[in-house]
Amino acid sequence: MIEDLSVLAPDAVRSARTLERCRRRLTPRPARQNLERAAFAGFCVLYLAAVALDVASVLIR
Amino acid sequence: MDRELELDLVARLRAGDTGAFDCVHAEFNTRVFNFLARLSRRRDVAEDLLEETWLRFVDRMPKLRPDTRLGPFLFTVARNLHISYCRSRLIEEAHSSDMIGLWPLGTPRPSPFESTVANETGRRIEDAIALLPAMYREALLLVAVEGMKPGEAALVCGVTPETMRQRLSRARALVAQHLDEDDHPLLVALKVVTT
Repeated sequence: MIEDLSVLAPDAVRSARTLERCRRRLTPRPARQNLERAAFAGFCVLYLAAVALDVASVLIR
Repeated sequence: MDRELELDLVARLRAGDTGAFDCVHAEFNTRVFNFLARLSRRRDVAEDLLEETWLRFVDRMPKLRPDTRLGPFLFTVARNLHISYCRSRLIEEAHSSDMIGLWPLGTPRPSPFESTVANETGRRIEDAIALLPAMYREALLLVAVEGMKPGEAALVCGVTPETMRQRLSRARALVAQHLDEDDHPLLVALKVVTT
């Protein structure tokens, strides 16, 4: 092994930010947050379905 | 890293333990960064790829095998990301040259280490490493700088141990040409790992 090579340190601020991002990914999301996301996704699906039905009814006429 | 400690860390990583992740990050962050900086010869690229390496590692943590060797695993992820980066650059440059005609593709950049090396010997070694073609450079970095066994480095690069030994031997010959010395410490270290 070559031991007399220089060592370059990565940017400390960026490394800390990356570490924080990784920790956030590792922390399980609270159940309430998941529920809120599911409710919002459900609302979006219903809204899109309603718009699609409306467009379809105009086209059929 | 002690093998028992490594197995314990892997078990904790599989369970999503942030403390275990912090230990692995502290152990490998600078090492993976130096590997990427010497491989890409650009500090900014190495910083980007380092971040992506850790994010990929976190995504794959629950699926780690219980006997995973963390070093080879992380260096494999980093190396694959560097290859993807090179491929995207090639496509980008090919498109640019199509559009602009004889647009120069650039000359090899000096390694970011060259400006930080204080002594002449260190500068010559960095220079010799930076001038190697990528496949020989990664072999040399993994074995002679990171201290991996040729078999482990072969796994990282996805080649047979015999191919890895040939690459190391070729890297030694190219470095010898550049350094023009037979008893240089780098060459002695390479001779040990290739024989």
